[in-house]
Amino acid sequence: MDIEQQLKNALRSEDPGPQFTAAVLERVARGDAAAPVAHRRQWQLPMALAASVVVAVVGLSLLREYREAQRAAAAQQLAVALEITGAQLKEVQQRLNRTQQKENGI
Amino acid sequence: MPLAQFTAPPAQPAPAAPPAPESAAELPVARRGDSQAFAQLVKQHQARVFSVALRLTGHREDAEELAQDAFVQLHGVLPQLADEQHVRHWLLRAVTHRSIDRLRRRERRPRLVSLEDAAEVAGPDATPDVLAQRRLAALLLQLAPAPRAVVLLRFQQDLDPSDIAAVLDMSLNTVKSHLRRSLEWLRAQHAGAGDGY
Repeated sequence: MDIEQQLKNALRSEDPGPQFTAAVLERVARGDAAAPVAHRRQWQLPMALAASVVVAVVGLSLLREYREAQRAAAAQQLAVALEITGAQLKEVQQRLNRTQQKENGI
Repeated sequence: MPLAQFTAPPAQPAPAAPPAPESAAELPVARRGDSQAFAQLVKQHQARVFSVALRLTGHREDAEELAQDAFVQLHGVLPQLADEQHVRHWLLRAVTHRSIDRLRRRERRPRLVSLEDAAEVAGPDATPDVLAQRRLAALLLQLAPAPRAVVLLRFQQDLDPSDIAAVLDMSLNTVKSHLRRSLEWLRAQHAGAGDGY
C-alpha cells in the first residue's frame, strides 16, 4: 500500500461525540466569543521590527553625517587658526629683523 | 517533537465518522437565526472540524475546544457565507488557523504531559495495520505546523492543492513543495530510514 493511501487510512475523520453539538449551542446561547486568533496577525510583529531597524539605520546614518560635518568644521577652524598664527609669527619675525637691522646700522 | 507531546490514542481505533448528509436546505434557515438548523449544520461538519484540530494539535481536549471555537465563530459570520462549500472551506480555514496558533503558543510555553498521556497504548488485538496507522499519525505530528496542515487537508479532507492554498493563505507552489517534501520524509521515516524534515 502506498504512503498516500496509508495516510488516508491513518487520518480518517473522527466524531467528537454527541455532546459536542450541545456544547457549541450552549456557548452560542451564552454569547461566548471565540478566542481571537493571533497568528494571522503575526506578520505585524516582523513589520514592526523591520520598521524599527529601518529607523535605527537611518538614525545612525544621520548621526554619522552630523558628526562628520562637525569634524570637518573643526578641522577647518583649526586650519584657519594655524594660518592666522603663522601670519602673526611671520609679522613678528619681520619686525624683529627690522629692529636688528636698525641696531646694526643697516 | 518529543514523545511527551503526544496524547495517548484509545486502545481501540475510534470509529470513523459516518458521512454526514449534506443538506443545503439548512444553511438558509440557519442564516435566519434558527438554532435547530444551526445545530444540524454543526452535526454535519463537526467530525471534519474536530478531526483537523485533533491531527494538527495531537491533543483531544485542545481539539474539542478549538473545534467549538470555530463553530461559535461561524455562528457570527453565517449570514456572509454563500453556500455549503463556502461554509466547509470557511470552517477548515478557521480551525486550521486556530490550531496552528495554538501550536505556536504551545511551543513558546511547553507544558508538562503525564506519562499516561504520552504513552502509546496498543490494545491486545491491535493489528499491524492499526499499529502502522498510529505510527503514521505520530510521524505527522513531527512535521512543522504548515506542512502538517497541508498533508492533513490533502489526505484527510481530500482538498485539491489549489483549495489548500486558499485555506492556508499560501501560494500553490508552496503547497506542492510542502506536499512533496512531507511525503518523501514520511515515506522514509515510515520505512525506518531518513533524516528529519
